[in-house]
Amino acid sequence: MTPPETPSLSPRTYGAELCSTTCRLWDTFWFTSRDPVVLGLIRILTGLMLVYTHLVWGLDLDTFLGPNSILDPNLVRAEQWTTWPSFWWYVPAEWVSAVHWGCLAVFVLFTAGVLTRLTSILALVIAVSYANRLFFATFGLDQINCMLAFYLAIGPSGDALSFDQWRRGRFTTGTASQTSRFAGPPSIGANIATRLIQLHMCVIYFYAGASKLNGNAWWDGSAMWLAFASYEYQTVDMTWTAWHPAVYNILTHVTVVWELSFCVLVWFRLLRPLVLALAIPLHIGIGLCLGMWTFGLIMLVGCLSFVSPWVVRAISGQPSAFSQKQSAISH
Amino acid sequence: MDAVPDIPEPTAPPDAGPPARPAGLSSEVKLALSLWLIFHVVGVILTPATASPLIESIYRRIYSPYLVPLHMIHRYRFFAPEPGPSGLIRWSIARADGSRLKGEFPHRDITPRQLYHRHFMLAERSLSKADQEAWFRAYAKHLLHKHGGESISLQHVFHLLPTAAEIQEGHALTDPEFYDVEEIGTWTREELQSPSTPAPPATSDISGGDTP
Repeated sequence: MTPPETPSLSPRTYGAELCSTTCRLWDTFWFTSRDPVVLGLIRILTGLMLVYTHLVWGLDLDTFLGPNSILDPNLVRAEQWTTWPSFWWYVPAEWVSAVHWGCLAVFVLFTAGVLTRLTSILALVIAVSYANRLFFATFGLDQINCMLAFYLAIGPSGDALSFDQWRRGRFTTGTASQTSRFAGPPSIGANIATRLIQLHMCVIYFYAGASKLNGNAWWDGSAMWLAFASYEYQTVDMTWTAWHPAVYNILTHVTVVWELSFCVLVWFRLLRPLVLALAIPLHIGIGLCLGMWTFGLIMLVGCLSFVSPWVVRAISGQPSAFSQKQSAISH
Repeated sequence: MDAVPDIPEPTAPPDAGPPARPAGLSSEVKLALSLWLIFHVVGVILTPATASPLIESIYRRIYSPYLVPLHMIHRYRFFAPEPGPSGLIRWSIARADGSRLKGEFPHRDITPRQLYHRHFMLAERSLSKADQEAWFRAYAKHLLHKHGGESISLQHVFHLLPTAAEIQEGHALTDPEFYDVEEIGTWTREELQSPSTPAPPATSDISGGDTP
């Protein structure tokens, strides 16, 4: 028995179907409403990281931003192929401390969700200004800080878990009151910002994995040994693995495979919890063994964008604004 | 398995809190947003690939003015191509009374760890700068101003990575044989007073460090 023949598509029909399907998927992906609660949580965690990161700059403000900064402004500008925008180029020496503390105050307001529309934009400007001026003392943490600050500034990050929302919710009565103090209504803006964080995280992990393929140590399984053997990074002594090469071999290969596959596997709802669960030991390990807690934690904050709002609501005991059909892995 | 785009977002029931904002955006707004989203996402994807001359050219002409102000200029090469030796800067200041003050950065006594990593980056990045001499001079000027003294000498130290076999033989990470020291130079206070000449603009590859 021969199978039924599938109707063949003419080039014109194929083109039309391709267009309509792409448009439908595009529309679904970007322009559907999303509960802002995850974006609100990311705002709080990013804000706390911004506060801490910049508080630490302040511990040695004179070294980095003082009139005799170790990062000579003329040299920094010369190294940057065009002047990277930063208000620090224009701050007089006697104002450095006051401006620094003012910036920290903005970060605190942003974290608490006070005047979030304004403070989120200011937080972005401040984070970028520090990172551009002090570029040669920055690392991955600052890149992720700025990335998250940008998406939180363009999205309604103050619509949940914020002082702004709590104030708006006071004017609502009944059962809706508790919910509306906690989070505002679903919005397309929350969806766009969340989607952009998700895509950016995929790009970061893909390039992090792909660039490792240029190094022999990532192929022969010894790269994690090299990281453990770096005294300057070490916070926990992992040199015992010298007697157990299988340990650093496995860690090396798992790291590369996980980073390379993240951008594909994380979109499959059944695999997403597994992919995200693996992010936890990987990034906690970076903090524990290499001392880069801030970098490891901010990467996990970025990964939070893949977590369903339902999970955050369930943990916080807040009634869901969404249908119960929504599961932890379905968005 | 279903990928995300195939799953429509759930809608809010009327009794579960504040109603959703009107979901409908006009076609014109959707088109404008879509064009920006395509532009932005393509830029984010292309930026780490600027080793290619074609992409470098596109990046410089189109994306640089947009992404530089957002600090989205990175290649995300964390520990790539592979973890390598660390760089440290050792300094020694001669004082008027004949005594010497010595130090290095990064130093593990610098706390909190976040501040330690800032100093670590200063030492690491000095290797990849277009004008190393000017940068070392700037470091020297800062240190002499901070600690006082008549002259300052700098050394660049590479802390090499021992193999697993060397650790098994009984070596420690901090054994002197794993430190490779290079003299950078000595400057007097007067020499550091004269203005330094910055190097010509570097290429765009100043974001490509292998540190996370």
